[in-house]
Amino acid sequence: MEKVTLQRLIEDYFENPFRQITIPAGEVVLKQAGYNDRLYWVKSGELEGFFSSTAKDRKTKVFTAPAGTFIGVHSFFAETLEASTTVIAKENSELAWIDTSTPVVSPEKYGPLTAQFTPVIVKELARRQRRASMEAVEREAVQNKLNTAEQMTTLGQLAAGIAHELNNAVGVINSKTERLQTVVFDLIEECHPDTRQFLDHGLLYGQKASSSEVRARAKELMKEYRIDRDSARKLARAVPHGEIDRSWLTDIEQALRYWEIGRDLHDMRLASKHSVGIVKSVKQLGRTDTDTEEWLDVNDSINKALALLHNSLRGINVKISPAVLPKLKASSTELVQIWVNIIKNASDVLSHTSEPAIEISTRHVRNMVQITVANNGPEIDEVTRRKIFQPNFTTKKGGLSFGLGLGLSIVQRIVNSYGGSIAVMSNDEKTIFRIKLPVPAQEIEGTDGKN
Amino acid sequence: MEKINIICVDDQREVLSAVLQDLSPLAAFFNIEDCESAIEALEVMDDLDAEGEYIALVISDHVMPEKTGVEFLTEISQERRYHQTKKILLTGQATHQDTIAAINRARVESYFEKPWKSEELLSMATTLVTEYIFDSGIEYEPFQAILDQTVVLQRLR
Amino acid sequence: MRQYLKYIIPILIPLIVLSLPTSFFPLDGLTIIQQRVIAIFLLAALCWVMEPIPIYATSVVIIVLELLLLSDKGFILFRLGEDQSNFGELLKYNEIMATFSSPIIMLFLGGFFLAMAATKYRLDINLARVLLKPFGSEPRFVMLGLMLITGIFSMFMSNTATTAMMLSILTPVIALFGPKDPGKIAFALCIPVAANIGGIGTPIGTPPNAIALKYLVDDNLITFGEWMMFGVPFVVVMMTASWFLINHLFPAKQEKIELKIKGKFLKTPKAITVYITFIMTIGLWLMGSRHGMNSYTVALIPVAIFSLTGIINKEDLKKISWDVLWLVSGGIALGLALDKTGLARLMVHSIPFDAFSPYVVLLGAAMLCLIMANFMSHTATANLLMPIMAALGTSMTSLTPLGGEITLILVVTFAASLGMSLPISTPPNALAHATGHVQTNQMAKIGIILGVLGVSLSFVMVWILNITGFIGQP
Repeated sequence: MEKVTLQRLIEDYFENPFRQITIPAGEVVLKQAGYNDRLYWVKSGELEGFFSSTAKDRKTKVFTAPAGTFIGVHSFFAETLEASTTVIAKENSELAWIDTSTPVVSPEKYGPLTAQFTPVIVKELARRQRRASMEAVEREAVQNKLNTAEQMTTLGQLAAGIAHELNNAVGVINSKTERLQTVVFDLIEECHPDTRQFLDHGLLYGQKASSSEVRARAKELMKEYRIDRDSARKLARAVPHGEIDRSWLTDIEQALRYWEIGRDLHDMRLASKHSVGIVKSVKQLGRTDTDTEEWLDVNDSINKALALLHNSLRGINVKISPAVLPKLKASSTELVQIWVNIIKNASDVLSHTSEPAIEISTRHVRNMVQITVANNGPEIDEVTRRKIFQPNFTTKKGGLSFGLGLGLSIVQRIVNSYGGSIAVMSNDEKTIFRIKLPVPAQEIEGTDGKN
Repeated sequence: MEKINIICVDDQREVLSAVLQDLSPLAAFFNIEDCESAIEALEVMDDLDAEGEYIALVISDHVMPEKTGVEFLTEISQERRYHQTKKILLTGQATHQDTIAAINRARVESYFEKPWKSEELLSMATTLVTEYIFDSGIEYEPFQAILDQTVVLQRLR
Repeated sequence: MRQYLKYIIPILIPLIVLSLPTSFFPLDGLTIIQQRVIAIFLLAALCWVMEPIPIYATSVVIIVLELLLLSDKGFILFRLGEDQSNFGELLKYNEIMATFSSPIIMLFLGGFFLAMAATKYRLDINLARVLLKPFGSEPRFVMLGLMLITGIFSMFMSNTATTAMMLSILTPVIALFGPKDPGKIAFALCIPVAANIGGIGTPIGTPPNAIALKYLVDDNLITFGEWMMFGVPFVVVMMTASWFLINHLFPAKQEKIELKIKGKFLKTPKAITVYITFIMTIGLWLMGSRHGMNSYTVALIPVAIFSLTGIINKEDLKKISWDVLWLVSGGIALGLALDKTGLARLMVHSIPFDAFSPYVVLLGAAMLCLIMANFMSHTATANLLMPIMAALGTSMTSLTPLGGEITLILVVTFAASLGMSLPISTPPNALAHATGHVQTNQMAKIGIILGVLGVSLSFVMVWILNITGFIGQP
């Protein structure tokens, strides 16, 4: 019905070749606040309407008028005869028009001009209304995005600032520890070369045995070698398994003393390394520079991460099933960081699980390397799952390890920067993190060639 | 000479060995036990107690898996067998609430923040062990060389 | 003024007695020394009743006053009329001083050492843990178990220490009862009741028993084991009665209660020494004098063993309840003065007790003792009454068919332990009242019923003892 009305209006009023113009792209049809007594119908092409609140102001686009729409509805029917927007042709367009002097076609049948055009007016009003609403919604979304981005930048900058400061301190500790270690070794080499082995033992292995293991072993050692409780305990810490070499027993006090020096150096090195790692990952939040990228095997980076996490993975059954993978061009630190974050999270949630297990598998699927890290910890509920990659979101209370709520958001950033994707799936049996990283085209050819 | 024990609890082995090292001057007179969890500590204490030994002091970290330091120390303070035992909370991550609980419920005698100064920890440990010896009526003479002399003089008056 | 009365009266009345001439008293042949004993006795009685000073301090005052006023090494001015005919005989100073270390005190010291070692090596709490197990978790039976254990412990430990230990075990359990549950009252009340009754079971269970033992010598000698032969059955019957009574008056609504006592039996050499010594000492006590040692000698064996092994060290020694020992010493000194100066006999002869029915005398003495014990310390009650009762018992020939002196002493001794109707009656009552679960009227209800029942039961007991020929036959 409406279509019929519109069709009739166009046939009756806009088919007159004398009232048609062709305008090239860029030409101004109407000027804001300029005189206009015409109602245009866009026959073909497209035009855009601009609005500026003051003369100096930049023009803001308020609408586009594609073919089939009307222009000048407001100035024509409101009888202000003054254009409300500036209308410029976007492309070459054909316009048909009527003006106030155009005779009304069969008013006895259809009523006066305004009555005949009522559907057009209403339709135009509705269109404008809808456009305004949609624009408001869009604007708000953009604003939100901007705010979050701004917040994150500030946080990132702050973190990077702190990390930078810490980095210097940690750097000093790190290098001085190394130096001190050399000095101590040199000194001992000079004065007590025979004790060097105990020092090495401490430095190399640190203290591996847990306190309960030590307690049990100390009891055995006390009986076996007839030494006092204190020495036995220390000896159990130094040599947690197997036979005790006779060299330890000749001067047990001294041997243990040097072993302790070695172990302390080991601990210091470990602690400073740990600090460096923390600082690095915090820095990544606000960083712009990236490490040098190299061709590497993802499996290697996973093994590195597992080595780093050795301590927190005690008591957890870790199973790895690696596939032959093509090499990727990536930063080793960044990849290790991804795995460390995900595996560390997994080990943290497993603290209350009986028979905790983590399964890591890698696969080469088409042009993607796919890594899945699965744990048998408690289910992550949907609300958490949705927020899991957001910065500042954490489930860790007290902050045993990181607890900054940044881990997974960093992971996501890194994965995205390689053009990859990360997803989480969880049910009451398993929680799986799946990371896909794209393999560059020439690398696929390269491996194919080798094969 | 009575057998007197000091129990140190921390889930991080490196921290534990640092505490042990700080307390090593006391090792000549007292037995120092290290435990990596509160559960383990409770078992060790139970065994030592059954052997008729004394638990003079417990030094515990707060943030530990399974049972936190404050929970652990609260349990000790409510236990009849350890009601004289002195307690130190050694932590870097206790919240305001935890600290209140540590004082009100666990009745800790002392609170140390990580990182700690080793002389301070040692002297506090010595003072508390001395007080324990007098509180529980153990003869102090065999230990006199190591004890906190100020406390000894105060208690002997 | 009122609050000063308790200081003024105990000083004023003895002074008045001292300043009166001897002829004023209705006692023929009263000597000056005997008059002084009356003054000291009145001072002691008033001080123990009104408590202007701690009761053990009263004991010390008695001993020192006796040394000053009655001894041959007293103050010179008090010995001026020594050669006068009505002056009387001075007491030997060393006899008075010896009351501090009389065999009764040694018996108690032995008991203290045993109790202290048992507590230190957790024999008490571990025994409680093991013994409570068979009683399950139904409140009625748990209560029975608690009462039996409390009773057994208080036979060898002080009633106060036993009550304190048992209440500390109970506190977390009582907290689990509903706010209106009468079970709360029952549990808080059953402990002091059991402790007071349990104390009757052995000579070292409570000081009045030991004081009684002091007067049961020669023909009337009762050994440790013999005491337990009638004491323990008495305790068992009383305990059962009080269990029924408490359960009837305050039935617990809670269906299940669980007592959690953690710990293990210590197995160190020292702990084992404690266990063995404990068993051995009690064994020797129970054997009577078959091994030639009396209970006082036996009591010093654990003292020696625990001291030499360091089980009780000098810090522990400081914790011994010297006040209890001194309190008993004062009583013994008072008895000594009454006896040795002949005052007790004089007084008893002056009153025609023989004219009274022996039953009236027995009942009157027991009731007097019960009432006194309810309002003042059990030990002080025994201190005051026992010397008089001993003298009365020997002089009253009409008592002989009923068992004589021994009957009177036992009835009065038992009555002294049965005074438990008020929080101030005994320290165990005070502890239970302080838990806040027991009201004074509730305690009074139980206390009065059990007191009267106990005294009647003690009559039945001495009657049985008499007809079985245990007492009364020389």
